[in-house]
Amino acid sequence: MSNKIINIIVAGTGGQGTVTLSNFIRKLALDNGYECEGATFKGGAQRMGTAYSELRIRLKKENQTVFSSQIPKGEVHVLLGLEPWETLRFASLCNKNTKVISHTVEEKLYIERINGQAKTGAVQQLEALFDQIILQDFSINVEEKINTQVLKRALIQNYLPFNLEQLKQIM
Amino acid sequence: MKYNGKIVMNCNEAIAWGAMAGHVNLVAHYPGSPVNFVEKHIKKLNDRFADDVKFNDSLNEHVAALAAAGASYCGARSMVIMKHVGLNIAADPFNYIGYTGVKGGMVIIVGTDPGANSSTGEEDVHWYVPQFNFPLFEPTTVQECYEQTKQAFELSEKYEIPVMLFVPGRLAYNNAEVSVEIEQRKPQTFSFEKDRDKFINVGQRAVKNHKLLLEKIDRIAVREKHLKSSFNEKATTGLITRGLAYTISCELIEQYELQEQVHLLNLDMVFPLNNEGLGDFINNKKELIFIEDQDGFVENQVKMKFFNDLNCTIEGKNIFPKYGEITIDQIKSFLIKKFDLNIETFESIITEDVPERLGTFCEGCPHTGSYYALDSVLKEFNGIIGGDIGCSSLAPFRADWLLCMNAGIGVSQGMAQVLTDQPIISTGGDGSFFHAGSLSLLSAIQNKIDLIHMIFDNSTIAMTGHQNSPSTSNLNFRAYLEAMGVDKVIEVSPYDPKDFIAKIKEEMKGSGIRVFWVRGECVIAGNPRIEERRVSLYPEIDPTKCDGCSKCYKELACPAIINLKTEPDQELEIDLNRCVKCGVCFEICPNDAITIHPIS
Repeated sequence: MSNKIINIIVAGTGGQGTVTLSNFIRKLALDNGYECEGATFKGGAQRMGTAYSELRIRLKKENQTVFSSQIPKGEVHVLLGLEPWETLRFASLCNKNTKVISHTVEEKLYIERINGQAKTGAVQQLEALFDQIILQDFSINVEEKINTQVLKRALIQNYLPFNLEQLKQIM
Repeated sequence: MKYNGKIVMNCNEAIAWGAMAGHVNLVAHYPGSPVNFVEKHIKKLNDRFADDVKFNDSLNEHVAALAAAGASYCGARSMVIMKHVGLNIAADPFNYIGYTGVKGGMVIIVGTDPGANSSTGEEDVHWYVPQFNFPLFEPTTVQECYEQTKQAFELSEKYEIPVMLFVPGRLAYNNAEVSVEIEQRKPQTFSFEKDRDKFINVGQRAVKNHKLLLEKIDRIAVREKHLKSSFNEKATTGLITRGLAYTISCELIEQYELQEQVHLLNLDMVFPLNNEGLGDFINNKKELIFIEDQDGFVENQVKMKFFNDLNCTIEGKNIFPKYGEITIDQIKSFLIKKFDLNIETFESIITEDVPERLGTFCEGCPHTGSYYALDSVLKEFNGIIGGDIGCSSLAPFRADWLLCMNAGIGVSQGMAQVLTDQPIISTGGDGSFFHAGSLSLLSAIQNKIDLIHMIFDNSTIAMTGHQNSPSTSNLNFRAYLEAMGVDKVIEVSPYDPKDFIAKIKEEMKGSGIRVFWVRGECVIAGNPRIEERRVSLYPEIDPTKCDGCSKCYKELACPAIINLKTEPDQELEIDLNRCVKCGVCFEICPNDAITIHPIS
């Protein structure tokens, strides 16, 4: 099995469940023989600010040296977005082959309340940037939280080295 | 043995486990990101394992430092926790606690913030360390946060000196699996032994104790070797790291197969530098490269300490910037250039800049109504709103500055002394008020400055996780302010904006020190009354009455009022998932378009 580091970004806004989704990935990794590094950043605002996690996982092996929690620019393997502007915000850390899944309902950036001009078009920009991108309105399924649906989709697509059964065990 | 195992935890928790494993007896702290949850985790572990740790929820870092020293003078093990800017406040006692020395181990946890992710600045507090003359550890992983905390207690007690631990934000919020161990605690009693030679420092006695402190730190430099040497000892290129630069460097050296070409030294103890360990490392080097964030503290220390012994070239801050976090991309670029590596690089995606998400007050936050009232009165006069640290200044374009604790009334009173035509109202939360703001207010009273100050009393230190403030336990603010000599105390509710606005207008005609006591609890602090209101009321906007004036949407800027259309078009609605039914929008609507009904 490859011992390559897998770089993952989970992006969203405060209150969307970015931390929960990241914790699921971390738990999946640790329970399945991987090491995991990475931090969550929530910014200063209590509400509606950017919230994201950088996660890096690597298969555990004897006598391995430590690895960093930072993801090099252009080297994100999987980008999971809970809001399209936030997905787009982290596109600059990705490359054309990064696998992307993003919820498509835009949350306003709040600046429009000040300048009276809404910014739109995040989904269209995302569509043009990546070869492997799944853009979907996950809010249509009201039975399950958006963050859980995004993670499940990533597992079904084999974007992460875990499966739905393993997820079920930790939820 | 009480517990022994592996747990996934973040660095705040790891330090807490280290404190419990290190048999801490007293924890004094002032909350500040990124180490704002260490004390909460120690409280949880204390409930689980010990129940004999004392806590001092200090009103500022200066008090916390002295309280921890006091416990330590009696033989108890103490920990004091603060963020980097708090170290400025605690610097006064720390400059002298080294002179007295300590008896019980005393550990100082400081959250640093290269990149200013959760602070108003990224000050490099390393420069305090040679001034305090305290040993300093810098962990590189979450596991080391636990281990070095434990180790710091032992070292502190061994040499009778406080020991510091610096933890940057990126590490503080990192999560990893950590091996921890907690032993059974034994009941302890403590006593203070009077010793004037140690504890009364003045004149020649202070000079003598300063000399003893310098000798002690020199002894530590000789005896204590806390460093990690990796890769090829014979290589003539030496890389020296501290903190997170170590993990990045290790990863890249392996990835680029540079193991034979470099010798890497990480300083676990960053101050004082270990003479032998560093001397041996430097000995065969033709070049030394320092990889560290911020100002280049280690590079500077090595140049000072080994000036006469260095026969090699030195690089560091000529390569890596002095600002922001040190990044994996910077170290990668350096290694590729330095070793002329032919590495496949990933072409990153170019996007147009996504605007920063500005953030707002929470739905129903008392500050929303307060700022609405302030703006409503001051905007026609080009008036100034003095901002202070805390939630109240976070929402964009509300306060006119955001500097440091106590900058609300501090800066405002100087302005009030020189401005003649521009009205000014200073603000600050209850946390900031008791941190140092009350002294500033007293200073304004003493200097007879005409000033209006607003204390946003939400009964908690909300921003850092709802730690207690004196107003949490029903402090009589009015009596406190009147006893200080405030000319007039005006009690207002942020949920009654009409009354609030009328009272501001009235006070703007007055003179003397006028303090608004703005009473409104933090809406996310779990108050049952707020929850009861949330589930029993139903608000709505009547589109036939709404004329699109935007007072609720733009001026109040409540996040629960949403625009169903895309700006500049507008159709407003109340998002019932967000609304907490505070009623301020109902109060300010000039068209009676907003109604609130009870849910039957």
